[in-house]
Amino acid sequence: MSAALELRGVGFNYLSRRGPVSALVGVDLTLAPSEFVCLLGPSGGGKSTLLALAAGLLAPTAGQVFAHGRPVPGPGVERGLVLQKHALFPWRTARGNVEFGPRLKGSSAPERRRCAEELLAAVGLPECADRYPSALSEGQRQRVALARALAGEPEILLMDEPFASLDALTRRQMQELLVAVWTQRRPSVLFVTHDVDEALTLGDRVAVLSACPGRILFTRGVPRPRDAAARLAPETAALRAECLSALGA
Amino acid sequence: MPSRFAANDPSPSPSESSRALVSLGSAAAALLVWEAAARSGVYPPHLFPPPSAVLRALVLDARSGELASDLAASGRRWSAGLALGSLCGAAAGLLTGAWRPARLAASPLLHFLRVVPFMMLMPLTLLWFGIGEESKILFAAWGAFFPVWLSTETAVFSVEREYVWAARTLGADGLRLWWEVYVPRSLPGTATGVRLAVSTSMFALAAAEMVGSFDGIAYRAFYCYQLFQSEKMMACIAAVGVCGYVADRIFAAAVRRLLPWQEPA
Repeated sequence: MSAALELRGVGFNYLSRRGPVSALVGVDLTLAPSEFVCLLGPSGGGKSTLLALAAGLLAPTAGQVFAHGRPVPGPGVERGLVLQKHALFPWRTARGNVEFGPRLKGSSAPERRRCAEELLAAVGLPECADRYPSALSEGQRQRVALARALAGEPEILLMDEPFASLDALTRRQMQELLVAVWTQRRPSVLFVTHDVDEALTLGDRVAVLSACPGRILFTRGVPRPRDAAARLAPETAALRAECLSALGA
Repeated sequence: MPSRFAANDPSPSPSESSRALVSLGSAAAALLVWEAAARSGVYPPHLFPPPSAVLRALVLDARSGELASDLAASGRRWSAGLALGSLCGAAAGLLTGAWRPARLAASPLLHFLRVVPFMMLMPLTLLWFGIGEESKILFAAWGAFFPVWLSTETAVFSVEREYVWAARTLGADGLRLWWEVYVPRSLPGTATGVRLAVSTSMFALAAAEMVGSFDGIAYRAFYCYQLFQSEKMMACIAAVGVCGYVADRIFAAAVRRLLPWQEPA
């Protein structure tokens, strides 16, 4: 089966005030259908850039991005995006945010309403549909952002540190929610984080990105299941240590 | 500056009524000081009338209907000018903010025009448009245009990349992206500009009325000055101040209703 997403020799340079900066160099990464890959890297690395390239929001300055073997021409609903900051449109209610994609696609009003209601229920927020984001908690906003991305029935979810600004308990709940959604809908997930434990909890594989310029240092499979025994297993501890030392911690 | 009413003050915020009391009390105190100073005779009373005399003039003008007709004449020009100038300003701000060629072409000219004191343009306006209603409405629109243009442009500049990215992955591009993200995101900035324009269009209109008009509240104030009717002139000033204050409050309340999603400032 062809890869849901493939980055082949991808590099990205941009022009800053101090001259050209190389954010990513020679990145190779594949994402199989329904695979959950966590991208680990230090803050200020090229993780968000890599995600934007995967989404088709930026065009690589070297290499190419493929989806099912075809070059990605630009952004599209089949690659849903969930961001950490400014995750929701503040001028639309929770429902309005979730309906955004279907509305642009031309779905009828009752159809999108049903879709929004179903998705808001799926992320555990059926009663918050008519609230504006300013009246939602940080965790609730991320739930709505997930629902909004799911409304396009994406093949791939691209998530940029979506839980980084949540408290520990809410983050745990969100991780469980994400795993539940993933198990049920089976999209591929490319999940950017700087938290090693989060990566090892969620991912089928972890890919570790170096600091600027970003290149993939290594990728490792993470064994399942993720019960308490596995968490304490020596292999998991070794992998965690390897990731931490690669991040320079 | 630390103040008792600052938002970060840990002490309980004063009640609505006690806040109103402070505001009204300070206004009353200022009026009392003015009254006492005017009555003390340090300055000729026909040049420096006490507020009681101004109030009397105001009541007389209100009874005769002169005040209402002057306010109505100015109000018509002002609302037409404010609407015209704000619409043009918002459109121009969206264009120069979002489209670089428009910015490169128009911004230098607009900034040049912005810093020319509008009083200096009055003779030119009279030459071109005469002293009819058009020139006064245009002048009020001129005064409204620049704050709305600038604040809209700034708001468009500062649209967060995240919103644009999210909208694009959800299928918005081209004009759709503009309408779905840039326009709603810059509305609060535009509203701030219009709130400034509520007063700047009044300034411009006053300039127009004082030079080329036969009615309107600023014309009346200038006319009273020429007749040495100080208390009547001050009555006009007071009427404009009250109307402007009320207009500003109404506009602020309307913005809160129309943009309910804004985080409380």
